[in-house]
Amino acid sequence: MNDLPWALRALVLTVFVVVYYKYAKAALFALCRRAAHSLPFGRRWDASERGGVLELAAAGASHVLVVALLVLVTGIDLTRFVSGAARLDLIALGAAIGVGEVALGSLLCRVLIEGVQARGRRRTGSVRGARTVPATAGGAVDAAVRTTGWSAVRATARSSGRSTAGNAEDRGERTRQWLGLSRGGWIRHHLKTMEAVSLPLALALTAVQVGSEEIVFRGLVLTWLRDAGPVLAIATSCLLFTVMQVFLMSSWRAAMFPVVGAIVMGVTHSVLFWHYPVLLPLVVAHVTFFLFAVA
Amino acid sequence: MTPTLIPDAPGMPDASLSDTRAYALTALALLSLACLTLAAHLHTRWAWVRRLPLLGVHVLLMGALVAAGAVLLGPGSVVQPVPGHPAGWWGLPAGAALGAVLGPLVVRTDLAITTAWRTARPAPARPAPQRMTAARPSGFAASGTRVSERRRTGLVRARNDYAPTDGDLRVRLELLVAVAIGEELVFRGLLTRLALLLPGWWLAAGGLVVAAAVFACSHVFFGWVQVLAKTPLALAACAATLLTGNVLAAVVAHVVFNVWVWRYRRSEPVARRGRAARGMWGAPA
Repeated sequence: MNDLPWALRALVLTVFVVVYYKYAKAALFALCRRAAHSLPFGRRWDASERGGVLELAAAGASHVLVVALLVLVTGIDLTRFVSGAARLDLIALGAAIGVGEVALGSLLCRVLIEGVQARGRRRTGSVRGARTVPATAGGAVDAAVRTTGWSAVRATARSSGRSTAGNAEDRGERTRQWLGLSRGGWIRHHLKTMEAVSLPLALALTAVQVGSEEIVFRGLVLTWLRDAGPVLAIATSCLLFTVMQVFLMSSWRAAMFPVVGAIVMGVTHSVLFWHYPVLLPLVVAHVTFFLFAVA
Repeated sequence: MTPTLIPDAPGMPDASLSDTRAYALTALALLSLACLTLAAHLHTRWAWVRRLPLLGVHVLLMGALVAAGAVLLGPGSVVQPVPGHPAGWWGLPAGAALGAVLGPLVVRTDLAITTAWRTARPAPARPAPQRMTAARPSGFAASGTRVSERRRTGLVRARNDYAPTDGDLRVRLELLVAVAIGEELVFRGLLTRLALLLPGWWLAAGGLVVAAAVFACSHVFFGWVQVLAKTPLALAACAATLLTGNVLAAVVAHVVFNVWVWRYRRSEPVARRGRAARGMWGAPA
């Protein structure tokens, strides 16, 4: 396959990303949720926590298999990237890069949230909260609490018209709803794993998953498309990495957080990997990102 | 040797350290761009950080970033971010004069944008409560009291929801001045220097635009209008830095602006101040 032109190779990678990250993972997760009810787990975990841990473990295991398959197909020698273990300075700087990425990503997310809400306010010109109660993904928000909260907001909006207090409270609630949405989709099994199992085990499961992503989207994609030139190869890698985040999320609003994070992280990591092909600091940066964003 | 975006320092003896340098400069750029968000994250996350005022954490973080930048890029590079600028040391008095002119202009523009965007509010149906009852509890005492915070679901809970409280808006003058100096050193000094390291004028211009845009966006915690209102300050400070070769003009303009903000907030009627300070999440009671 290595003698194909790079555009065809990029197409092959796109098909692979859609097939694995969308359809294969959805089937795998459905299987895991079914297994969560039938397997003998400890009583102190509820079904969603069992499901989350099983999903993350299955995702990691399948990801490792997929990496092996991709290595066979592309014929790339992965061992030359595993040279970062001795560079402690790079690993520490990788952690700092992860912290910077999560801070920048959350700033950009906040800008987008404020922008969307400001546009909505200007368009409707009034309090709009009573109309929309967004469906929350994964039952993250308790229904009773939500109902009382929203009726209180509605009462405030009725009594005080367009006063600042009602508007601000309403806006704050909606931002919170949005933040609640972001806990759905595939982020849910990371959260549930962090809550259920011990921290080192959760970190190990996350690191397998995240490290495989780094190997696929940086190590394999960028190396396989090296002859396309830096701009095209980095653009392809970032695009695939960003598209991958949208799969299995419940809505566009929920997908906004991982998408913004993926753009920041994709560009940074791709540029770094293009010039210095070392994977381990990037994996450390990715894990640090997850620790700050999820834990 | 792979081609690098970031050239080595001229005095760097060991070429094998160039990847460390690239990683360090990338981390420095990311952390500098997001320093206010990072301070807010740290402030909401750990109780012992929360004992400091948020702007104090911000100033400490920027101090660490400026120190790291001075170590990585050379001691003078943060103050004079344009290498080999023809103005030389004459840029300092020129910058001071330019900053003194720019400051009032920026204040005017900011006020015009903020007031133009403000819609006419109808009078509230009931009289506004007294200030003592309207003040929102801030800091640790207020955390975990709201309906949506009482559950222990997930950990995203309070991560991205920094909103300025009474305590943050009624800030002390010395903190505001320190923030002005620190932000100019980071955004105009450090990030301009990092942007000018990029090869090609379009990449450098892109870096400068990104730094200015992120500076404006970092005021999003005060509302979307403030992002628009801070864009003139960002552009003027960036232009003044490129023109005079040092950050003195930007520092003076920003200090003038922040002193004006402090006086404006202090002279505001108490009732209006209380309502504005209620922030994103509204009054708790």
